[in-house]
Amino acid sequence: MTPVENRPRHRKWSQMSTLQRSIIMAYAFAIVLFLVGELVSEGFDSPNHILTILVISSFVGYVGIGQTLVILTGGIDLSIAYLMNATAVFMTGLVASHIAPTDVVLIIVALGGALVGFVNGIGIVFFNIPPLVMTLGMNSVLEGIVLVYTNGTPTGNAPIMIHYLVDGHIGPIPVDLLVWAVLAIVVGVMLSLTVFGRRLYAVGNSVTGSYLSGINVGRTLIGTYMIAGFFTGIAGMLLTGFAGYSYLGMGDAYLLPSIAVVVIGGASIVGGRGNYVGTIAGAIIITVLTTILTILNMPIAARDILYGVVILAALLLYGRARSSQ
Amino acid sequence: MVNSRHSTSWTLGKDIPTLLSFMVLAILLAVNAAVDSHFFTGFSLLTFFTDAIPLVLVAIGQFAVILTGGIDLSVGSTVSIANTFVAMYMVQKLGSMVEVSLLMILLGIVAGMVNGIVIHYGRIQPILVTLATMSIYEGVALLILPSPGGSVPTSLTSALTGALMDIPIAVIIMAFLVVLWFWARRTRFVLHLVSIGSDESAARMNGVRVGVIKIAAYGLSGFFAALSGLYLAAQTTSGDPNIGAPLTLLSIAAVVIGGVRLSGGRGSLLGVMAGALILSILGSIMYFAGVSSYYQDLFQGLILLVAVAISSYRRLRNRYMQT
Amino acid sequence: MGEMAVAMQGIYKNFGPVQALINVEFHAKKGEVHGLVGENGAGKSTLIKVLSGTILPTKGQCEVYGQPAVLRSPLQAQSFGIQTVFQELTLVPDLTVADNVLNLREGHHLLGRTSSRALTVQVEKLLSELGVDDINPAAFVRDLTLPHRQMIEIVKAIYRKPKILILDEATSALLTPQVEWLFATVRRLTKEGSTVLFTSHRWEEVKTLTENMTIFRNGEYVGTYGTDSISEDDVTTLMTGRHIGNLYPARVAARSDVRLVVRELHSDVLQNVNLTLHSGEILGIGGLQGQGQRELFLSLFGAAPARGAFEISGRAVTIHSPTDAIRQGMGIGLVPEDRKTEGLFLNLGVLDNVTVPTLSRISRWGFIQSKQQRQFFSTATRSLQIKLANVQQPVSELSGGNQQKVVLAKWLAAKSQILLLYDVTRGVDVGTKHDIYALMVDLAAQGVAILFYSSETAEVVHLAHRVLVMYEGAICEEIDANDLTVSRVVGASFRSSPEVLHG
Repeated sequence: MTPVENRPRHRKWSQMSTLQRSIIMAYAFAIVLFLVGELVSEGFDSPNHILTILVISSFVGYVGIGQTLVILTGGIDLSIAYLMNATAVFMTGLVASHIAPTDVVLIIVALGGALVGFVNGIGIVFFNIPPLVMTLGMNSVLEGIVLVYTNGTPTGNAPIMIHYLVDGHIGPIPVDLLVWAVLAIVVGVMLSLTVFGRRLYAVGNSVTGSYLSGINVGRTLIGTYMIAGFFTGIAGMLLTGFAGYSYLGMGDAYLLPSIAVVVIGGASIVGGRGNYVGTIAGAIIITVLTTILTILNMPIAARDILYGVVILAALLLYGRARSSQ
Repeated sequence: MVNSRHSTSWTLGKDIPTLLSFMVLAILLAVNAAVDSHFFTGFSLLTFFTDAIPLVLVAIGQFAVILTGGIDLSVGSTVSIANTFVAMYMVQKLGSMVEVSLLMILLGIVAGMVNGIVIHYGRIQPILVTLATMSIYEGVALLILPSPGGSVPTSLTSALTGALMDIPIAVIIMAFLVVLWFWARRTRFVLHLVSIGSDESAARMNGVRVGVIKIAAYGLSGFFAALSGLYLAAQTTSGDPNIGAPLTLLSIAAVVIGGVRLSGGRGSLLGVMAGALILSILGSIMYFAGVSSYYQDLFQGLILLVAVAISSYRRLRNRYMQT
Repeated sequence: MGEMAVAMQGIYKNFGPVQALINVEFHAKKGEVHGLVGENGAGKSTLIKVLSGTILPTKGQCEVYGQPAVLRSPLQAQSFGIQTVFQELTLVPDLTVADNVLNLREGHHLLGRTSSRALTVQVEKLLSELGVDDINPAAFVRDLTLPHRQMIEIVKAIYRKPKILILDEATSALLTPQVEWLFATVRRLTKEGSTVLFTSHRWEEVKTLTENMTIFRNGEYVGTYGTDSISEDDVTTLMTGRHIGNLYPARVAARSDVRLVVRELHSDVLQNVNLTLHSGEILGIGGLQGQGQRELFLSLFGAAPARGAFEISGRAVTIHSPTDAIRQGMGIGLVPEDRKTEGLFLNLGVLDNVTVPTLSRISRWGFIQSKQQRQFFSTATRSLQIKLANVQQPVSELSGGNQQKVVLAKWLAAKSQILLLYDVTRGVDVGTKHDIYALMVDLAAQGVAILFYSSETAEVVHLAHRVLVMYEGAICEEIDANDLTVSRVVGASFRSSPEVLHG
């Protein structure tokens, strides 16, 4: 006798998984914030402004890709800030020095991001270094490399192609949102339809269980950090398109939001639960909130405080550990 | 058969991670002495210890938290709160100096305890709670002092960064901390911190009041962060709402380099101090060796990774099986 | 009639919808050793947790020495003189033996300090008084062997002069001389007026040590009996609620073709293990707990380092990792000891859990073929009757029995021809046990070779074709079908060590 599926497709709230509930709450919260925005400032919810907000959301959304993957395995990536900065300065620097054609530079720099992820993975898997420490050390090393390479002043500008990807429009639609959509689909497909994605979730749920189910845990973890590094590298390059050039410390502001958006999106910080759909909601929430606070002319101090309070609220709402009996 | 093999004394001899951090520190001190011939003659040494104190203090607070298996990402912001508070409100009067210092310390303790309370009663991972409060406390520091400025009584500066009978105050502070540790490490409180980090449910079964102890650990972290902020104010003679930011990750690095187990339950304050000194001395070495300060982060990162790689490396085929 | 040490009446305990205790009563006299007997999940552990203050009953009354007692915390239970030694150890690994024994609970001053030297001397004295001379009080608990840790756990409880000492499977990790030590200590304590409540997987120990026993079944109180007045068969019947004959399906004869041969397997724990497993055979592994059974299962699966020669269906093979063991052509599957951490992915759905080991077989170009996945899944679960809302339901929401079926289904999906079942019925309800027995016999009939270890010897005896008894990492005896009884297997487990229990 096969197991009986005795429920229709539409599941009631109480029958949904924790993750599904969290994601629905996150999107509902995003919508509420949009409504609040309209109350605060007329025209907030005009189609154009919504598109603008989505474009701004996309940056933390790009950074959130790598962080989502790593957190799903139960790790954390603190090397995001200077990996972004590194790919940004190397891209503008190499393009300015005309060593190679722009598209070759872009590919090489993105692969450089994957290389950094590979080293993170090696340290974590073969040297048994906790992810927090490995990526913290890596961040410091990358900061040094950025400083030494740029000698304190990054050179060059964002290539036209990057400009177009971030700033261009096709009809009314910003190219940036199409880029985001494509990356989101790629990540979504990878996580939910591929063997690699299943193994990633399995490792995040139980390393021992994965090992005893024949999964090569080390390879899966190293692969995850490589892919995360690749996407974070791309995020760094795209970020130059926003400012037009690269500068020191440009990734700093993205480290903590990258973790916040993943968690607000319903992922478990201990791994094994979450997906990129949730991270997108997290990115939008953070951005709408920041925008509203800016419109209200709140001082930075109040923004920081509210920002923290919102993260705490989201955690208290659905980020709590199961109570011990 | 009872062979009296029970050595009960000082166990640093077996504490390999801590020993390792001492060795690295010794090597770096030697290197520093080689590049700076005046290192052991007064001013350099004074500067070195004085510069290291803020990180030493924050790292000690971080150590208390990591010993329980937690982590505190908000320490840097708490340092900033204390720092701006002092720069904003302290005036050149003994009464004010005492009053403001006490209030500042209270603020630090409260900030830390709030972390502990939310972590324990809210059942949320420490890394997430302190990530959020990091932002909140940063905001509070900015509320107190929106941009660098303010002033600090000169007598505070001379009291904390000067010397007493030719011994740098900074050295006296460190000596005091070492003595404090030798007293504290056998207190029930520290044993409880260790128990929680070692095995929380076992600790609970043994009657350790896990919630109270955890909240105290975070309170202690806030306390030391506040002291660090005070010292920084004395050092720089002004306030800066962003001054603490780099200390968060550095304090974690110092604790880890000091041989403390990141998952809790194991470590020595002596190692933590060594870790903080290692991170501080790199800047000094580079300055005297004429190496660009741009390399400082690179070396800090490499030392962290090498130290932790050596202490965590296990050559086991079945490393994924819990035993 | 003596004074009552413990009197419990009308105790209920619900975990969500699950009723762990239903109107249970329990009485123990002052100065006696009282056994609590029942299968896994019968309620004895829950009752012990109630009495030790780790869980609060849903309702019910409890009196300790005539005083009404509401035990809200271990500390409160201790104030009534109740000390508990749990099956899972409660020592803090990163503290020394001395700190663990003396230091954690004593006093209330957080800033009070103790000299580690004085403490060590004190504990050394205590240990030698209790006749324990091979444990260094200054050693860190993390460096002790499991039996030593268990002894320290017992010493810790005894040090506090318990009026009521609860030993919950406290002998499970002890070696024979240490069991003897424990029994002598317990007898001395009861002579001094303490009451000892005792549970053990080993019938012999219960019979030897206790005066009375209370039997539990499915969360209910069955009765209290004098140990001398009741036979093992009666106890088994009372525990299971039926006769042994009805409990287990009939065996099907094994075939003659050899599936797996292991020669001269050595490791840190294992000593020269040789075994031959035929297709259709259920080969039981017996022995006291912790004699290398876990290491044997892990080694055969490539998950623990070991040296030795393997042959599968006549072909020499090497197994370096579970990946090797699972590979088609090897076809080994392992149901591990701890299903929650070793067998399952709690946040993943049932469908994904079942197909994790077979991902490469249900995918093309790295993409999962959803149709094939469903096919594998329904083939695997056809004979298992897993109760679930839908196939995406996270396994964390399933009951223990259904979770174990999911773990089994992983290997049915992989069409494993050699199944290593390590304590597969641990913590599952009686209904599921039946299903699992039936499945095992059914699989064997289809030619699957099964290596089977259980902490309940009766299971091994009634399901296996023959049994290999392990002692200290080696196989010390083989018992074949003609000879298979519980007492024979238990006897062999003990015979390998000096006969010490009676005295």
